[in-house]
Amino acid sequence: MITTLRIAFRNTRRQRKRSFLLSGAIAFGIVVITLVNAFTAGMIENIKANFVYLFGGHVFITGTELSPSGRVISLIGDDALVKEALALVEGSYSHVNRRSQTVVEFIFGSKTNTFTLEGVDWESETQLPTRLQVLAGSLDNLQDPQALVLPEQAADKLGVVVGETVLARLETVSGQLNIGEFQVVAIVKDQTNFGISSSYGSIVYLNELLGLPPDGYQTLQVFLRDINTMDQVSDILYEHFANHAEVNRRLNLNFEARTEDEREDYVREQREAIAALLGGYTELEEPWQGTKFAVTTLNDIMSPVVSMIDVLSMVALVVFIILLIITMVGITNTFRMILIERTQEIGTMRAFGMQRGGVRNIFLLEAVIIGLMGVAAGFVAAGVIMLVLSSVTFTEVSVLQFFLKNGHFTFKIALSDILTNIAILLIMTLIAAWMPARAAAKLPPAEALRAAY
Amino acid sequence: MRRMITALIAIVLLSAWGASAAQVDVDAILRTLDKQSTFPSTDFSAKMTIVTEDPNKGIEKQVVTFFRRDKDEKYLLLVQEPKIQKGQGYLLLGDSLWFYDPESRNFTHTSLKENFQGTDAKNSDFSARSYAEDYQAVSVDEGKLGNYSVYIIELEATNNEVTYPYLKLWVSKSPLLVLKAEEYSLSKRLLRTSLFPQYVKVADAFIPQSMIFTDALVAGKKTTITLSDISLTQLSDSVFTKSFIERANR
Repeated sequence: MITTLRIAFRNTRRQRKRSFLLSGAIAFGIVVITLVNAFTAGMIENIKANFVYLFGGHVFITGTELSPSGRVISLIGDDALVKEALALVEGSYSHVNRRSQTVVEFIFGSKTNTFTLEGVDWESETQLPTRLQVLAGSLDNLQDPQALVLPEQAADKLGVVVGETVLARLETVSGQLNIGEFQVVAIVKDQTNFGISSSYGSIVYLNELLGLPPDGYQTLQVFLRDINTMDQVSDILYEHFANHAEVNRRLNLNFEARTEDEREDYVREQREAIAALLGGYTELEEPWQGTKFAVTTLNDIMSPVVSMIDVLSMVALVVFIILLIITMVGITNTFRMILIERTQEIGTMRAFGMQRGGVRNIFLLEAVIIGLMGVAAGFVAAGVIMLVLSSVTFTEVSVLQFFLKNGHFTFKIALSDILTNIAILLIMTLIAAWMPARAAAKLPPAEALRAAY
Repeated sequence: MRRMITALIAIVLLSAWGASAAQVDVDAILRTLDKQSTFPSTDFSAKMTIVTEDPNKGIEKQVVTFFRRDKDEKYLLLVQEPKIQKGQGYLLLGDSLWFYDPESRNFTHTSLKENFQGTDAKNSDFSARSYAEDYQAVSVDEGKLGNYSVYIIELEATNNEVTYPYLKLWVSKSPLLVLKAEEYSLSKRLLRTSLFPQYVKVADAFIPQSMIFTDALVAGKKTTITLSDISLTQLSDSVFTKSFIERANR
């Protein structure tokens, strides 16, 4: 076998230019598929990280209740049931945040800017101040109920500096207009880099402005220890809520209704859930008692994005296979030429006692060596391209920021993808070389020796 | 002695004036205001010219066709100008307010509490309102607004779902017309001042021909709405439908 391998290796070196061109074609395919795989994997990871910053957690529990007049308001009134549910998944999460939030029109002089205001319990939510990158002011005086932390972009648009007072125009959960007064204590860097960071204030003061009880909250954000347990944890929480209270159907952005009634039910429920999150009014069809819970995960929210990226990966795979087929046709032709060129050589080897299998293996091993050389060259080239692309900083294109990490593309190479691509490539190379190899093995030694090409 | 008599007369006159103010039937005033601003048995249509002065955006002008049918709680607002917004429409059907965008050809649900097209007018300003149902008087006084003798009425919402929880109205005595309104937030901060300097009488109703809404929070922001081509002619049922808005854009 070692002799066969040595001969195959020597053969690839005998016609370097040809081997180089074949390997180059294979390398090109490897570059394309590796780049696309690594890019999409990196993109998914970045989007997930950006979503975690944006939504503040991995699993989200929201609640809706009915006001005495029948209006649907966003509020989790049954904290005891939430605590019970969390006890079932204790150990799976690192911490939880209780938040209220609303869309607020901040006003400073004649300038206005609409932003999300998150009501934070600064005493219990100790991680947030450590995560915020302060550009001006400080986070020392967050216990002041009117203290406001503004993202840089909002502060710039309002033309406000630390220490100044801004007005906040918002709606209570029942739809009345209300005005709050906040003092800017800190201006922080946009955490997500795509300009949709929230501003932060005291949950107690925000609840007062929203017309909620001081200890009330609208969303419970759950941060998991292991992101892979997201679906499992959310299922446990949802089941517990479903067994003890009213629940909204799980969010499924890829939902496809089988009947018109099913579609209408789904649209109504989702409208109800979205209105609950945004504090809007929905037409009430069936009243309920207490808190109606909804459980959403980052995976639920991201599913359309992931589906889109999966499609992109599939397209890349198809392109890769087409490229390989073209390359394989080239390999088959090349090996048929090699067969003609080496007919006498094959005859000599057979005359010296080499078996048919040995001849076939030389051809196949030669193809494998060329394939592996292409793989190696492809990975090196892809690595260089990834290095160059990831060093470019995109600061101006805000649309792209959602897919970036700190303004950079990131590439994540999964071992399983690499092994799959190598396997596909080797199998196709072997298939391409199989026919000429078999023909070479079948050559009668005497005729081969007599051949005059 | 003369001073004492003068003081007594003054006290008696002030008491009498106070008593007369206290005897004002505010509920009747509110009911009259409601009655005068609604059209229970007829339809209403007009052309509205809306001019918004915004310190950040400058001056913007819009022309909107306005159709209203109070008995069914319906209205339709069709934007005619500027060209870029032409064809946009707001259709109120009972509790549901729909916004139509001719670009996407889609109807989306919107709220009566939203500002109309970035102006200082609320979508609810174009629907029939009821001071008598939604508010109760907490104080009433008499005074002057320019040359007009007015009742100054402070109102508090009777439910927590009206946009403005507190109102202050300046109502002319004869006829009873709201000349000025101040609208306050839940925290009792002034949000908007509305002026109604000009009314036109059509049948039994008084229609404000000119309305000026001033944002009390954003310095220099103001919207003036002028009504013209006012009519109480009966409109076709098809006017208050989604397909009418779609057709209007063809």
